[in-house]
Amino acid sequence: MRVGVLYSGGKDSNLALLEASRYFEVSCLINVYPESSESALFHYPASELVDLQAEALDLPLIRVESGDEEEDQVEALRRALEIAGEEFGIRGVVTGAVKSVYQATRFQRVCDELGLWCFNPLWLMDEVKLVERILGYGFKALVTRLAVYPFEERFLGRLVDREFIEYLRKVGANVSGEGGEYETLVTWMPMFKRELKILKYSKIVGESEGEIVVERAELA
Amino acid sequence: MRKVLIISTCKHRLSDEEFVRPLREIAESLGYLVEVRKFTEKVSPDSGKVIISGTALKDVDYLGKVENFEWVRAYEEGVLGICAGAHIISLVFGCGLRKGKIIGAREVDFKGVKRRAYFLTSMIPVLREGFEVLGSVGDVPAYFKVRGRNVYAALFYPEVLNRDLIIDFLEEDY
Repeated sequence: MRVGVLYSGGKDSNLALLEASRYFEVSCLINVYPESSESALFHYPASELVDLQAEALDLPLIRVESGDEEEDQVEALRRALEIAGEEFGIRGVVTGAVKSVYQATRFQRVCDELGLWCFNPLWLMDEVKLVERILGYGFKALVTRLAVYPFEERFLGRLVDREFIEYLRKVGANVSGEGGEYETLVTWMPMFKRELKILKYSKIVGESEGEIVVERAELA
Repeated sequence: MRKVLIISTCKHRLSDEEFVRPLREIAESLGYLVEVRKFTEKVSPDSGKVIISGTALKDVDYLGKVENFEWVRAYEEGVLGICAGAHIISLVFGCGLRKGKIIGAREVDFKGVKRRAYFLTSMIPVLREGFEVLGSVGDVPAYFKVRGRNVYAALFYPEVLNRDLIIDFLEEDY
C-alpha cells in the first residue's frame, strides 16, 4: 500500500515515518503548516526547514498552509490529502499522534471522509519508551523550543540526549514533550540520506521558555 | 506467571502498533505474560484471560474469520472484545451488526455514571436477549456482557480514556 506521512519535521513524525517504511511504500510527506503558533492540530516551530528534510529523505513533499481556526486546519488537511491521493496514489495516511484524542479524532474523520486508511503507530506509546526508541535509532533531534520550569537555556539548540531526558524527569515534565514542553527538529535519522546541518541560529529566550530561530541550514 | 492472550484483528502489521501494543503494555505493566496471535489463526485458549483487539476503521477482514472465534462460546476464563472484538463477540453469540459510524470521544452512560470514551467504529451491534448492557450512548450498546458468562465487549477503546476497565477485567477473579 502506498501511504503518505503527516510530517512536521519533529521526532514524532520522523519516528512514525520510520515505522511506516518497514511495512509500506511511503510515497510522500505531507506538511500542513499553520499561519501562527496557536495550532493545536499541527506543529509550527521550524516548519520552514521541512523542505530540506524532505530533500534529505529524498521524498516528495506536499505543503499546504492553514489558517488558525479548527475548520481551516481540517480543510487544509483534507486538501493536502486530496493532492497526495491525486499525485501519488496514496491509499493510507500515517500520523505521529501519540495521546491527543483531539488530533486523532480529526485525522481519523478526514481519512474516513476521503476513504483512506489511517495509521497511528505511536498511539498511546509510553513517553519513556518513545524517547528511548528515538535514541536507540540514533535520531539527532534538536531542541527548537523549550517551555519547562525551571527553564535551563543550555538545552535549547542541543540534541535530545539522556542528560536532557534526565532534566525533564527531574522537573516532572513529560519526557516526550507531549504536553508541549519542547519541540524538536530532526537533523538525522536512519532514513536520511544526507544530514541537515544547522549553520547558524539565534535564541529568543524568556523567563520560563525559549526557542531557536534557524538562520542558515544546509544538507551535508 | 499469569498469562494473557491478545488476539489481533488487524490486517496490517502497522495497525498492531496502534491497537495491540497499548493492550500489551497495560498487561505487561501488571506483570502478565502476554502472547499475541492473529485473527487468521485458529487458537484454542486453555487458560488465562483473552482480549480481542480493535483495528483500523477501514479494516473489515476480521469479519471473514468469525469462525475462528467459536471457542469464545464455551470459554470460562474471561474474554474482552474491543471494537472489532466486540463485533466478533456479537456475531459469535448470534447478534447482528448495523452500519453506524462513531469517531471520537462520546459520553457513555454506565448505569447512571457518565464517562467519556473514545470510539472508532463503523458498525454497531444489534443485541438480542442474553446480553446485559453495562454502558450506552443513546441506543448504542457501548459496553456489554453476555449474561452469566465472563464475556465482555467494549465498542469503544478503553485503553484510551478508560484503562481501569482493562485493568479490572484482567485483575478480577472469575
